[in-house]
Amino acid sequence: MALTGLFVLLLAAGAIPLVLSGEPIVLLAWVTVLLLAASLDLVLAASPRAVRVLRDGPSRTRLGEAVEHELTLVNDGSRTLRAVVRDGWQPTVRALPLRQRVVVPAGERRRLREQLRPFRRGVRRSEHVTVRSFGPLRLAARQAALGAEGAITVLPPFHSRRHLPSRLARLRELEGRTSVMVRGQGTEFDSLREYVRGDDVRSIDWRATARSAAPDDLVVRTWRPERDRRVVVVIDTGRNAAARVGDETRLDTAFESSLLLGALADRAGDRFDLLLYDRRMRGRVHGVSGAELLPRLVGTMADVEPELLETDWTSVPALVRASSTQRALVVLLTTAESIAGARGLLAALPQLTAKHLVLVAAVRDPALERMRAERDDRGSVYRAAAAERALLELDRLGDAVSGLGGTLLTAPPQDLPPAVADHYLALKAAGRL
Amino acid sequence: MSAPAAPQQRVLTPRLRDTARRARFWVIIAVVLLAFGGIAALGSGTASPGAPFSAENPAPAGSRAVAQVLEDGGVEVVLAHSLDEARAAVDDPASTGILIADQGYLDAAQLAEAAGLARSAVVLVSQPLDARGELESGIEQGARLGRDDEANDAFEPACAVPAAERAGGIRSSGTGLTAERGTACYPGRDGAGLVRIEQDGGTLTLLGASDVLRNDRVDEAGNAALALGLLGEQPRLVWYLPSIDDVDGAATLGELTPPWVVPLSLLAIGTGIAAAIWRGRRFGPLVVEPLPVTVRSGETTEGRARMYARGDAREHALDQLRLGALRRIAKLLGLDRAVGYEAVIDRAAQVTGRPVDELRRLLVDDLPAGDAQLVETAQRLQRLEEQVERSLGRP
Repeated sequence: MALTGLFVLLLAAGAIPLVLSGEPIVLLAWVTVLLLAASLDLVLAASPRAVRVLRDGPSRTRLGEAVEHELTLVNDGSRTLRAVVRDGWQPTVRALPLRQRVVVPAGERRRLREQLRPFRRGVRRSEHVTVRSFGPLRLAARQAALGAEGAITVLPPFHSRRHLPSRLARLRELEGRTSVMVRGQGTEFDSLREYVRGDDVRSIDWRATARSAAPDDLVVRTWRPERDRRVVVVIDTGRNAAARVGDETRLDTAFESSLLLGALADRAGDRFDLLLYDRRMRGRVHGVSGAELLPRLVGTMADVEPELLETDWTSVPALVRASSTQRALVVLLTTAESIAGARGLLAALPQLTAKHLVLVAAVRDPALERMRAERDDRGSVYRAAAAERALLELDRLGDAVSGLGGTLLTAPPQDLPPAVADHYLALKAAGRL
Repeated sequence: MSAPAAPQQRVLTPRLRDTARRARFWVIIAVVLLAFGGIAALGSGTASPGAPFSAENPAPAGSRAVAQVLEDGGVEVVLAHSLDEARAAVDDPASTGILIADQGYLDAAQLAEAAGLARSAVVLVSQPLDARGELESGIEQGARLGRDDEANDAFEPACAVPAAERAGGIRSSGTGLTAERGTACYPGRDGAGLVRIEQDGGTLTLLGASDVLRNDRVDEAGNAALALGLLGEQPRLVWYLPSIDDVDGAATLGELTPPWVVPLSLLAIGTGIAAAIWRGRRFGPLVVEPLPVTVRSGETTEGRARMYARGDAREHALDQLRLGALRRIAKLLGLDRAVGYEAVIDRAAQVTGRPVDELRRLLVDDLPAGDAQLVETAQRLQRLEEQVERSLGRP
């Protein structure tokens, strides 16, 4: 049940006849009539319980994009429903309009459109639709919350896909469409073709040239990087991933990085595996390739949030082994700040580097560089010293990782995804995969 | 769209009757408690007026004890709270006594009329008021009957009033009265405790020692005997306790305001409640959303900086800055990380053209004497880095 503003206004207006007549009985009559009218209104209002709610809309969207969602109200009752409707979306879905006015004649249905513009990743829900049904006099209303569940999966935005075209161009360069490339141990013979100016003279295949029909034309061999390598990305979803660096949490940056790397590796013909892990497996993508890969990746990432747990690195080597028995590029997207803080990671590293190529990729706080460079007064000098200390510890951690056979890559949040992609391309070009 | 078996819509809001059924237990509990409370309140006796000298007041300042003993002794006690009631209560002035326990509500004429209603009148004089002075000319009130240092003085009757003679000594801390005529009893420091004036065939008794009627003092010395003797002279006693009803002339608030003011304020309250219901009715259940934790990074660095600053760890702080500078300069110069700092300083001196000694002091040896010097050294380190960079021809 609910009262309306009109009821309150009319109740207050009872003061006018009271003052004009000076008789308290007039007010009593006024209030009685008003209460009777409101009761009548309640009785005449269409029952909100007789309404069925149907939903229609996309089940997934990318963070930062708007989608249309439709509610269909079916009035199974015998009276015309005059109602205000509110869909109970969680606040970060930012559903607009919040409340909608609708009139549904008996036995008919009406469609309501709302725009969802979610600003947080994950599965967002609406558990109920509330219908407030007004009587014909609009003095009072009946209200009921109807259990009509809706859900929308908000996928990671993949902002770093803007880096993808340039990296794919690099990849095509590597793939022997031009022969201007360095041969390495990881490259394989692709084809023979005519020499064009600009080709590396060292790639001229003299025997093939001698055999060719037109002896004037030189024949060059082209090479391409080996395919079907394995890339295993492990994302640390432990408590350190919750830290916000720049505009996004470390976890979001890790997602961006692995999406770019995944897209790139898939185009390069490599097989891409993803593990989300802290003390438990939070998500896994294995054995998916082609057009399926990216949707699977974002779908797996969508509902993963950092857990308030210390990541257990001891079981990571076994997980990687379960994903790939061959030699692989293992990318650990985690937090790297100091040797003391990364003890667990360092302890697990030798087991991984024994068989695989290991890249430890982490976000570096760009604020450190700013703090380091600011030396105006006593406070800022001490801050600069502290920042310097943090950078030195990061350097030492890099040395420690190198000492164990891995590589540490740190970059500010915006630069980490392309940096990881470039590292992969460099390894590919060098044939080290 | 055909929906042969439309799925039943699930409704989360409970129906009114379900809510009522669920709340029934508590409603019953509340009703029972209220009923018990009401019965208990009724059983505890009628809410007795808390006025002093009230025949219904069992409190120390009341006079229920005297009234009850009088009634047990066969005296019919009639309560009156206004002059009109008192007037109506007196059927036969000859066989009626009246007790006037005024707290300042009556003016002189009213007091005189009340005193004249019955054959024997007892006026309690418990507080100084002009009205009493005009009641009987020649009666003056003293401050206190007893002496200040002995509040509960005992007084002897020392007069020929029968009730006082029978009662004997009393104990009181009432008001002293001085009269030009009549009989004065219980003389004290500042007048007498009782003055009896014979007039028009009746008696008027002014009782300055009024506290002989109080519940808490009635049992002392001859207090009870005096009270019963004075009030029990006639078979019927009108116990007149003047109230606000006796005050006339000044209009009450209710008479001054128009008749719609009270209903209007009730309406305002009602409108306020209705508005609260209107605005306060929630549009459906609350929506919960678990939000993830987000931690600001860089806290540890800030914390370490504050720790340095609080501990005045100048040398330690400068060491960090120097190590960082050396590392970056070595990198700029293309030197291996493993190279010692001497090599870096030598090379930097070559590149920048600055003396080796100076660079060595800046990068290794100098100890900062104070904060100012620390800041200066830090800035010089930064300038050195920039100079190396410039000398190498990079932007």
